[in-house]
Amino acid sequence: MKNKLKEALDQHLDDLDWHGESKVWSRIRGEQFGKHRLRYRSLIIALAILMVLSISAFAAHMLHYSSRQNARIQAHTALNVKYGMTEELISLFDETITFNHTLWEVDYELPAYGDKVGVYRVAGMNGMVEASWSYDGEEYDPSGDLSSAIWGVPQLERMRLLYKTRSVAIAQWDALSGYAALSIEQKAAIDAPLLELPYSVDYIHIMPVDEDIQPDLAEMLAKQEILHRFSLDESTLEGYVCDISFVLANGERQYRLVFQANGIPQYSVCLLSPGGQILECSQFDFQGQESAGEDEEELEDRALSIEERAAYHERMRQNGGDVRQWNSVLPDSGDICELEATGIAQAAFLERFGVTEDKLSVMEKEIYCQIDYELFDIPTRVWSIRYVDNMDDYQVTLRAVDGTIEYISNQGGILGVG
Amino acid sequence: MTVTEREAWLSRVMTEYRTCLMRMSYLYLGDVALAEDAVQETFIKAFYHLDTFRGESDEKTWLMRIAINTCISINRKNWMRLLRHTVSLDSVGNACITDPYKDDTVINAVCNLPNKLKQVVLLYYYQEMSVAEIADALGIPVPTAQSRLTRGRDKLRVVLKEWYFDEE
Repeated sequence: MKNKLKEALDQHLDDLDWHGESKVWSRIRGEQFGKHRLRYRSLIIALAILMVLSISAFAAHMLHYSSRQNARIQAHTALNVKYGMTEELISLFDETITFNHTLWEVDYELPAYGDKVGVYRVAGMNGMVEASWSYDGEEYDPSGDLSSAIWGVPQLERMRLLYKTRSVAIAQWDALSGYAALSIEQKAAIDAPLLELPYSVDYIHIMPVDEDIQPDLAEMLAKQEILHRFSLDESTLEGYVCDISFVLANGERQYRLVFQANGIPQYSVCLLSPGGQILECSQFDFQGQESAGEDEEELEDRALSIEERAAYHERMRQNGGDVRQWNSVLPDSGDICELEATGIAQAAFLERFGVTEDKLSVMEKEIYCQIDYELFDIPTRVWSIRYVDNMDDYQVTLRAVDGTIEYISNQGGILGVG
Repeated sequence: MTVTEREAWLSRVMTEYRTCLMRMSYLYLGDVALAEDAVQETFIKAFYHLDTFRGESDEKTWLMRIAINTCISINRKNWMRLLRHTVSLDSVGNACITDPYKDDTVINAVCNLPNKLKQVVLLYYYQEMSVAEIADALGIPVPTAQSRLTRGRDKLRVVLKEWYFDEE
């Protein structure tokens, strides 16, 4: 019977119910901030003057920010005033915003180093803004020493500088000869500053020591594995060029090898040192050109015009595709146009991050008109504009109907690059 | 709608739908605390967006849509934390926590379905919604909802051989 499944589930869940009414009323009526899992000691920041200045500044400006984005701006200001956090540091954090008309809260977390960085929270209600940190009152080394158990802003600045130094070096090599082709020694030299970190968010290039498998042997082991795994003749790999890296990843010392033919990656192998165990051996699949694998679909998508992409995504939706994935549409007749959206985006990036039109003009630009299911509870048509290069990734989301800035950030990849 | 009317509406729907939303969220997220947060967020969002509810679908379908979107967001946030190696697999909560003294075969079978199939299966069997209502709640075409229901049902049949659920 159809209900047999329901009966079984209900029987299992018969003691499960929800009793959160009081929390709902508290949030809605703004009676109190409520109980929170993390420990806070808070100081009330007198932002009345800042609020007045901010409101007058916004009123005088052509840009219209949504209430949610205004809350984010106030939160960034509060973090800057109380803790000295710059926009660059704030952009490293994951931001979670809870917003209603009387109370908003923004949490800032850095999962990669969560135990050291803690959580910052900014809350606003009825014009008052309060910033706090889960480590308020705790000691940390003001010099920025990364061995400190708790990381305050000095440590964050030091970490950011280390990653940025690496990112700049990689970008410079990419512009010259290509980072991937660098030797083990060169990559280890670029990553050496990151060894100051207690642990890395992804992996660090290092030099092999006497106890490690040496690069020549690693390459031989990798070739053997490829020939065996894919049942190939020895002659198959003649003439292949091997890009080899030696890294520290999750506490493991690994060789990562990519074998290329005519500049095109064909096989990759990852093996452990000093044991030589094969962790991964795979073949690059370029048959996706015809079968439209996921990466190829994305590349094609970016190359389309607004109209072409809208038609393409409509076809995919008609064929049963997920509306959240295939969400590009044409702007409505009353919406702002692509040119106007671009102008608002550029003005917003200048105001928030000081980035000029000249700088943006040399970055890769992406622009989409799409239905947004993330920022809004009700699907809403937006313009999403992005300017990206090796260092920065400026993103803005505008409501298509009136150009209100719903979200703006610089997601520039500092952590995990390389 | 006045504030008083809106609050009266909220009070009624919290009483009427809290159990089904809580159980639905728990089956989707596999974690009691996350499910409580999801239900709380669902009612708050519904309160502030009540004006946008134009009665094109029924009230329960509308609330289910908000709840599912909220669960998807919570799930996505948890998986992003997992990808950054700060949350162990055990704490993400794919496995439903069960009473060791209850037979958890059925609940585990449902919880272990892929998310897209689990959504449809739960809405059809647990919330007793029609395929059309499910399609509306999830924002997908009706054929897609039907296809996912069929696939989810087929997967459950393999695991729950001894169960008999005769389809209408």
